[in-house]
Amino acid sequence: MGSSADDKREAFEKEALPCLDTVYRVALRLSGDPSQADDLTQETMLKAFRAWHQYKQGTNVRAWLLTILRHTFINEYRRDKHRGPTVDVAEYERFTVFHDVQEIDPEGRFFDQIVDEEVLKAVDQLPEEFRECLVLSDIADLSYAEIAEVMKVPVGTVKSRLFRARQALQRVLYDYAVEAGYIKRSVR
Amino acid sequence: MTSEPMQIDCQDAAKRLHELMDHELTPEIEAAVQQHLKDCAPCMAVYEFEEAFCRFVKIKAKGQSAPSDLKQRIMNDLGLTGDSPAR
Repeated sequence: MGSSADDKREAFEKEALPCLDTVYRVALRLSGDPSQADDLTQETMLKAFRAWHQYKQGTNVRAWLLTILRHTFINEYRRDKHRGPTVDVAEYERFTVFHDVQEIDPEGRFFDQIVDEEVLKAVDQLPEEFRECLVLSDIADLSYAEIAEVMKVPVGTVKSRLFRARQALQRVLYDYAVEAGYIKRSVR
Repeated sequence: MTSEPMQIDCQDAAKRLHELMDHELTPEIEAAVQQHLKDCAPCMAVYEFEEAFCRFVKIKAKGQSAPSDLKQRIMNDLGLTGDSPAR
């Protein structure tokens, strides 16, 4: 007969452990540092295991784990460490790149030539509050309401930050693609 | 009594394209945006571009996995066996 400790292990292994890659990816983008991401991921999973009785069955376990991750990051890991330059979102987000490329590449195929590493580097250049929204949506696949709960901000704020983060990211990657010669800059 | 289906213009549609691709619109607004895209080729072209870009970001940003030694360490700490599939 299994003990309640065994039941807890089994439930955690079935529900939380499969989210490990997502937790790690988010940790990496929040901290910007692989060794810190390792520690942050490990600590998040240990804390989640200890607090497993607080997880509400049927709710999104990824959102629950990422709430613990974010809390741990903010309280124990985030220093005023210089992370390198961030992009000015207000400057970058105004127009979709579509209007620049519609004549030559309306489907945006040039993006496919950009390697993963460059995309992640561009994500890391977003200011923290925008980067967090983008990562929770596009890496962790949380809904706007779940992101709002993790970040403790209104849903409208999530909506606007996510939109602006994606537009800024698009612009940064377009500039990169022009530099790399994947597409010619159009003269507007 | 049936109400008139909601109508939206290009400006409204542009504001809601990301919510549409993220499945975050109410059924009524979603139907109105979809209808607008059907009737308006320029807006549809923007939508398809934005959707392709977001799909691209999602794929590229999910390329990394947790290092196997990290996973092993966590499982050892918690006394887990590691039989569950990743998601």
